[in-house]
Amino acid sequence: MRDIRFGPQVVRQMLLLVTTCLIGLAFGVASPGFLSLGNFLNIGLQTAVISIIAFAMTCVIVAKGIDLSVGSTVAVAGIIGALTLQAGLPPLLGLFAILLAGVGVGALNGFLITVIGVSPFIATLGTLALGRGASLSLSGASSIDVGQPLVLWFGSSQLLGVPVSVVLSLVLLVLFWVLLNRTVFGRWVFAVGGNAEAARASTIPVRWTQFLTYVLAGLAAGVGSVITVGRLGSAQPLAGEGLEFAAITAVIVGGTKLSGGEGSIVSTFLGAVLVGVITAGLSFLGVRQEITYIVTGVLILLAVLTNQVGVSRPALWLKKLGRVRGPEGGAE
Amino acid sequence: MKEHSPQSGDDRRWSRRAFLKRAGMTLTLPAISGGIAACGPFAGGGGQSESQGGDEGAVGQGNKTLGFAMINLTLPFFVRMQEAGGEAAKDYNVRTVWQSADGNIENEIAIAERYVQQEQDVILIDPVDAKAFEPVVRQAEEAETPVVTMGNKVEAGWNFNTLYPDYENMATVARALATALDEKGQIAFLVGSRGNYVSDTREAGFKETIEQEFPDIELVSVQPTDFDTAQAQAAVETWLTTYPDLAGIASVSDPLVLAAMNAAENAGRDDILYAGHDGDAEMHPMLKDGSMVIDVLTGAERVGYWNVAVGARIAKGEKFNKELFMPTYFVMADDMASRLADRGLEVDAVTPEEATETAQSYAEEFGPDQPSSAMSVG
Repeated sequence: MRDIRFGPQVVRQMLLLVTTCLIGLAFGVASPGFLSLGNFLNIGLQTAVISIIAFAMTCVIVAKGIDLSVGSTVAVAGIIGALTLQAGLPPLLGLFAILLAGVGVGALNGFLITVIGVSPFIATLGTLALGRGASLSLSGASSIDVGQPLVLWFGSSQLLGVPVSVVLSLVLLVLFWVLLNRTVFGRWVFAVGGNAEAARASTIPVRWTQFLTYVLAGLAAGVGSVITVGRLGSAQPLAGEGLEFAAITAVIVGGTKLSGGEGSIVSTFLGAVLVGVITAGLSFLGVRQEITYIVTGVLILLAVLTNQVGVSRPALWLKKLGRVRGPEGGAE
Repeated sequence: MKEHSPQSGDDRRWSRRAFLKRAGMTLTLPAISGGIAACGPFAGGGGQSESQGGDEGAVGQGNKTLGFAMINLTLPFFVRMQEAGGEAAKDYNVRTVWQSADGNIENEIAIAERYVQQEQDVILIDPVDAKAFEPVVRQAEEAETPVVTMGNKVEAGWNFNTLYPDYENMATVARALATALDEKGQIAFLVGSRGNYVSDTREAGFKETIEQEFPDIELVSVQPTDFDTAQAQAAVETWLTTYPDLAGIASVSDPLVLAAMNAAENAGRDDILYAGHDGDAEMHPMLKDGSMVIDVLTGAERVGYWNVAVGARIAKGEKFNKELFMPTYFVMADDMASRLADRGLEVDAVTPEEATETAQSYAEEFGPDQPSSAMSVG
């Protein structure tokens, strides 16, 4: 019989899909209301922002970076946009201000990392605190009401029964996939993350590429902010708390390597959906919040184990262990 | 869609055997997750667990279910609140499901949205922010699910608000502390976290009263602590060095006052006056010895029992006004009350002994035998 062969990303995507379906079915059996269209749309709604930011985070991580500031960028961008609207500027300018604020934070991260030479972890940790402080300070530590229909549309309306934010996340899934897989920039991102020195020798603009991945992350946080403001009907200074963790989780579960050079937008999307299904399912069962953290942790470790180490190596270790212990335990 | 990765090597291919190996490993996740979820103290789903008070998850039986979306379920106030809520669930024969958002607004909204999907009989939300919950309340309205927003006024029309007068109470706390200090001197203020509605409201009530009514009282510092006693203690240690003439410390929550007292004791300062909020029994000795001027009894247990009682009654069809107010009490020792009265400030307060009795009698105060009118004052 001829052996069937699969590409590693296709394998991961198939497994993520099968796992998500099985877990979804299990939750459906335990809690019948889980397998309803309304609940699936809810899960889509709740994972839309995470997915969008995770797409950009995939680019950042593939280029061997990390961005911890996306959550507070969502908050500060929303506050800046709401203040712009409060000042009486048209809604379109308000939207533009939100996106621009996101791009601004992304550019600051890119500048600190690629020009000044600060490590990505430290630079974005700094802008995380800076963004949170700025959002609390600018808002006077309270939410700002946003009532403009155009702004609310992105977070609270539907297109043919599907939330606009879900449609937007699917559109961005395609755009990011094209960007990473069908453009020169995408090839640069993989090259820079895989081997920066080799990329530099190949005349690839390494710093510029890394800089742009952070700008993309800022822009994605801006889009996430638009959706969040629309969903909440207000700009919240504490919005986006823990979002960086959720986005990085989706990326890692999707199989992107933290060491850079390898990753997939589709897998990231499936990772976000898997985490969303598990979170919603556990919530449906009424289990404690700690469980969600534990399961998410297990998920990350498992993803890292299967992706970074591979399956064959642990199997080899076990085999070796069996050999070593053989005479005592009688394993061999 | 096919993905490219120059470094990963698209030429790396997986045999069917390797695929099955990886599949097996990946699919162990549901087993691991399910195993953890089904084990020990974490179990709570499905409504099988009989009332255990302090556990997150499902509590109680009954044919009506109340879904609680909470900001937090690990801080002492919320733990006590949930414990008493468990008692109320038993007394009212309802099932309660408690889920914590861990302070995250998006999480809390997601929890509330899931409760709507699950068609809970009543959804009770402790909202991180009032405005942000209006959309989810409207979603519940479409599903005709009653919503109770606790301790924070959400103006969405459909919901009931269970409230207590935080601003006015902290204004009285400010007056009492200032009067006890002869309306002069330096004071400092420990708050929860910026953006937290309860903390912000209490802060505003205290600060604005001091600024407007006591020009010779200098509020030297307002320090956010995230309701963390370690942070509160560190802040007070710094104050005692920076402001050696500090005469009073107030806080939005009693555990922070205890941390402040501990820091002052370590620094050998026993001349500072304190004022707090919550009415915790641990504060009674300090109220009696005069080091603590005033406290406000809301009582975590009372809040928990009262909210479950209101939710259960709504689930069973009782009618209420959209705003319900829980009675709160100022707590002062008789000596302190007399001292303040001599200086022109009359406060209608209960003694620590009376406060203990009131705090523990929540089942009688809000139990199922009480009429609907007992659920609200004013």
